Amino acid sequence: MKYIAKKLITLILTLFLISVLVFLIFQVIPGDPVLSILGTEATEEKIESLREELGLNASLPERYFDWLSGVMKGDLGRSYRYKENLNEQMAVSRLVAGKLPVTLTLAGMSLLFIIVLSIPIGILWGGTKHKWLDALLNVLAQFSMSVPSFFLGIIVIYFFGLIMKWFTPGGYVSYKEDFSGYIQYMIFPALTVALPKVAMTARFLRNSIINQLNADYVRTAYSKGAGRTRVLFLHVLKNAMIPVVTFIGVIAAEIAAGSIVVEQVFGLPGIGRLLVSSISTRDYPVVQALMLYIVSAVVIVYFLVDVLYRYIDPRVEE
Amino acid sequence: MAEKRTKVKKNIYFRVGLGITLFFVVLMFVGLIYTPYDPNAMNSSEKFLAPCLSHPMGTDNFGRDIFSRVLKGISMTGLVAVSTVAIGGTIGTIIGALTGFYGGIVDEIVMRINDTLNGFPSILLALVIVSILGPGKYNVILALGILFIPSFARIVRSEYINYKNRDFVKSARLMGAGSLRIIFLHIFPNILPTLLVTITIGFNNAVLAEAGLSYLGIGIQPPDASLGSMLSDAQSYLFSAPWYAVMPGMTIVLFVLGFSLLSEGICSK
Repeated sequence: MKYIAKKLITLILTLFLISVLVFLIFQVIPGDPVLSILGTEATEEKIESLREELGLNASLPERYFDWLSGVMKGDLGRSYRYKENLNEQMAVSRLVAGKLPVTLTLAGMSLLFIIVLSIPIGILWGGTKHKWLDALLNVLAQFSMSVPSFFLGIIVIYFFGLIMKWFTPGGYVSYKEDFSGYIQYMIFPALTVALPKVAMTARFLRNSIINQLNADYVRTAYSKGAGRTRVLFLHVLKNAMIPVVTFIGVIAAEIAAGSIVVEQVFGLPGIGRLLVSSISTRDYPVVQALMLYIVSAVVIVYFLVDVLYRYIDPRVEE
Repeated sequence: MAEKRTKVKKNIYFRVGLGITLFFVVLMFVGLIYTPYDPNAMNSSEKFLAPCLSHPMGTDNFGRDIFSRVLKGISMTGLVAVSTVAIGGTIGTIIGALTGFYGGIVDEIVMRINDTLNGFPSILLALVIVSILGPGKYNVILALGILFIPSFARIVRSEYINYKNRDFVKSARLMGAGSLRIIFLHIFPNILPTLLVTITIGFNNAVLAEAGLSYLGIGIQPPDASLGSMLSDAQSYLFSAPWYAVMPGMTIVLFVLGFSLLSEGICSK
């Protein structure tokens, strides 16, 4: 309990620091938000009234707490680029809410693929006595880890989309229109995000298993007459999985990063694509909100992994 | 026996990695001074030529010679990688050396920040910095340079902590050497092997990050040729001209593979 409380305090402090940083960073960016909304030909009065409306005349700490309380209530300001209707800019929170499900589906499906694929491969790899299988898997893993995700995505599109015709590249359908079509289209982007991480996780599990196979309790189990399969699945696997759980947690951040790039490759209207297009059009309120979300999400995931690790392996001290 | 076998295997890694890397270094310098065609010259009568004798990698949607553009892209990526590793490596090494040697409260704070930054995938942090600075060649160098500071600082710091209480440091101090002299003249040569591995991994990450940012359209901007932006252009013509994507893509893969084999090879030496 004490451990969790301590971690929780660190988490809250980190989140606070992140919010201060994200706020400050976007204060020092050259360029006036008022001019970006109104354009350069606006009258002096209009500029002044919008400054007042946006609260830009207040002091820095005041503006920070204004912004933070807005963030807590889900109000993240308004986009410079997207319009809700003719005279109103779109709220960032609405913009993000529309894109979030796509990214969450992509990340969730990739995580599922990673777990489902890497564990059997890792067990096979760690448990095998065949040198050729070990070498083959090693080459495959090395290769899939050195292909950057955008090129991997292009290979997947070319091979599965254009040659095998298992899906139509660019044929994304919204989950609101056709849910099963949506899931079907997401399979290949999710595989693209997952593949390098499957290789990493499987290799990690393999090393973990081989480590455990040298332990004393394994020799004891063998001497009591247990077979190789029994030792592997009943004795070794339980212990070998412990570090892998943390590893998968750490990979969660990588999945977030992978999704940003892969969304671009497959033309998925998610958070990553919104972030990239907002950076190139300098739509700062959107960039600021997404930075805050993504970074906080990563920090929270790390916190959960820490707590979970403590729970499954009580030997962990500090 | 087993140990000998892995040693031989690692040695092969080292040789192959070194070979690929040297090959790319040569291509990088060649790309700086000579390309068979003008990489930006458009020729509407020669669009989408498949690889042939006069265009070994084919031509693109504007009839530009892909081989010339790949060469230019390699030199651009190489220059970005060298500059970013130089920036991140120098600043990171100095921070790591000072904090590791002196310790104390500053060390605590710097390392907390470092730990937090290290947890984040590099492309995400690069996006953050580029979003502040704006896209473009020099901003990419600056962004990636800043990005590499923590990893260098962390590794160099742990080496300094390891060395600062060794006997040779104590005897140097007894002979009247000042702290700075000890840090840079006595301890520094000892950490060079570790630093070398970090630098190779740094090159690896720099190539990947630059290609990723340029692919997303917020890295190196046209008309500068870049392997990443070539890939993103090629994606629209994947069906009719697959070689347009394969050539820059495989170049990136080989480039990265060279560095990662090299670093694995050096590790075991």
